[in-house]
Amino acid sequence: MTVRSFRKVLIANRGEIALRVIRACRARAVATVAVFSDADHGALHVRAADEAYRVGGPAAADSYLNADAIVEAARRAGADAVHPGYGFLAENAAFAEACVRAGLAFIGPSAETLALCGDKATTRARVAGAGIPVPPGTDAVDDAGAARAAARLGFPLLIKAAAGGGGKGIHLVEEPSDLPGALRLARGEAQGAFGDDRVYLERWLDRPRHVEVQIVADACGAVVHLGERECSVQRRHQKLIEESPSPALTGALRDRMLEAAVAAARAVGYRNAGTVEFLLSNDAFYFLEINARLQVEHPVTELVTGVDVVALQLAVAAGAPLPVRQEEVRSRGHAIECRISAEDVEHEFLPWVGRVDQVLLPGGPGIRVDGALAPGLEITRFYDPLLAKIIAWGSTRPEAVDRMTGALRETLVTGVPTTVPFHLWALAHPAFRSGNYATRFVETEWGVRARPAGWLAALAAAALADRGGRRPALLPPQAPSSWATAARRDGVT
Amino acid sequence: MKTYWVRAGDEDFEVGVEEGAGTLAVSVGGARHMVELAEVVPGWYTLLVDGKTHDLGVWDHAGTRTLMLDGRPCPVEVRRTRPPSGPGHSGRGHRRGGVVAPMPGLLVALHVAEGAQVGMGQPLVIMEAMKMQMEVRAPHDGVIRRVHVAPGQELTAGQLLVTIE
Repeated sequence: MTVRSFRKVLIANRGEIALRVIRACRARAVATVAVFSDADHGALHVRAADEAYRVGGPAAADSYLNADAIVEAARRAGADAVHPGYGFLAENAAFAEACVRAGLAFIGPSAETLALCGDKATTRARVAGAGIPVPPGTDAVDDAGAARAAARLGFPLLIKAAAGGGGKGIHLVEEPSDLPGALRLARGEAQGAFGDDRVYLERWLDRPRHVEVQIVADACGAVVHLGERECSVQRRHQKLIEESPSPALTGALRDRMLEAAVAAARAVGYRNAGTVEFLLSNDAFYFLEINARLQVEHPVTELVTGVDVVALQLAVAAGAPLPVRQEEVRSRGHAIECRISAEDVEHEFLPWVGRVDQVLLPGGPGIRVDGALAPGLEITRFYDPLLAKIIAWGSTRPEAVDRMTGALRETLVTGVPTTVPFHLWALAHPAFRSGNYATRFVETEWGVRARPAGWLAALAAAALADRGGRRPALLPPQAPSSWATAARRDGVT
Repeated sequence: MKTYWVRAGDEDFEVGVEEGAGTLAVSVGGARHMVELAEVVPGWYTLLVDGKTHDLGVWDHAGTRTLMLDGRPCPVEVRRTRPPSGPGHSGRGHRRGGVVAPMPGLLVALHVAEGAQVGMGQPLVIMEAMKMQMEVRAPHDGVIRRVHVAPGQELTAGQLLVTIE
């Protein structure tokens, strides 16, 4: 395969991931093209790119999922490649094919691989055929078949969208009486998100942990892994905190899992960057699915390995061989990511719509912030409520946890509720501190969290309100004090 | 002395505040406390209550606040006037007989009609925001007196969905 070099890349996404890809391109002197919906014309990714094109109305279906408009924007801009980010069209085989037909390189796996990985039931069968363990479950079933299979599998069990991914359409069913309602919701979400309402069932494993492996493959089929990420802190099957290495893995188990991930990638003929997800339960691991895209949590891997995953994506999509060999990949220290989303953690993490008022972001040694967050940002119901990701690196896990705690205390977002209080609580929790936690951590622990004494909270709230009138603004205009004036005079004389 | 009505978590308090020299005298639950408050870094305070220090984080959003007191989060609402009696003055949750939208979003489906008999926990509507669907269920047994919304409608948080009697 010939190596081409990209001159101009269109980013078919928005928010923090669009900025992340724009930065990777800019670092390589590759021009960037943004697309935007009517809700996003002033967004940061639009301002950061060299060019920007409107692709439709605020609803994702009209804009960021509008494949024709995006391909047309790429043609008008003279782009030679398209990076899909995550979500939206990232795993859409028809979009990848449309890009290639229009002479654009798709920075991701081939349309065939996307179609295969998008069909979870078929991927499971293919990977199981390569000798990799999969959890007990069914193929796609109708409601009557689901009721029969549920009786055989036992409760609790999971309903998953056959065409799914990204945690959409997944429902945990505790009791037989909840099955019909959960099937209805899962099919509704699957239909809405993927245009396909097929679902399958999977047995719920004992205290499962969610551990995934980052892999990258080049056009010649060489595959390397970049180590694992532990992602067991979740709510509604959406990750909240990710870390690498996983505190659950010992040497031999890690080696077997990393090998299985590379074997799974080979079994589906994978190209570009992807993630192989596993469930880990009592030292046994089971293949879940391949996320055929860049993951939200990729910075965790970047901080421990020093590898720029997006740069690798650009390189292998251009036909270059993998610039790193497996034995050159080394994981150093520990990294943790906390997702800062506009959600009401006091009310079941419901997504919030509103206007961001003030923003202070953290810094310091080992701290990275990937965000698209600015004062005045309007959060609409059309898109994901993710505002920013804070990633902390430390030479040890405790150091990374401490740095993250400090970073979260520096982070101030007002106007909308965010997940920051939750993260501070989680990082201090004994189960998280010890590393011994599983996927139901939030469900079981957050619900029974300790409250401050009511009278003390009321006292604090009243004292704050009383001080409110005289409290200086967050960033007050600095009237020069006589000290500052004297210091400045000393400085110039 | 100023009076504040505070809802902290699920509890309601009447709090009296008197200002002294750098110190506040705060009366709550029949006890009087000497209080000092100092902002250490933006959003984080040291709260001194009767000589004991507490770590206090504050986040403001849409009329309410979240506090974190010694690592323990707690939502609070403060009013200068006596709130109407009874729980739920926050506007979230369910008013008597009325079921409200728990989040802003799109009404995807309506499962009940006026006059229908419903049991506690029965799904009433499905809402969607940010690609997440969620069922709103009946808080108690009853009869649907009014349906205030229709499928396809954009809803705000706290908007009345149905009235159950």
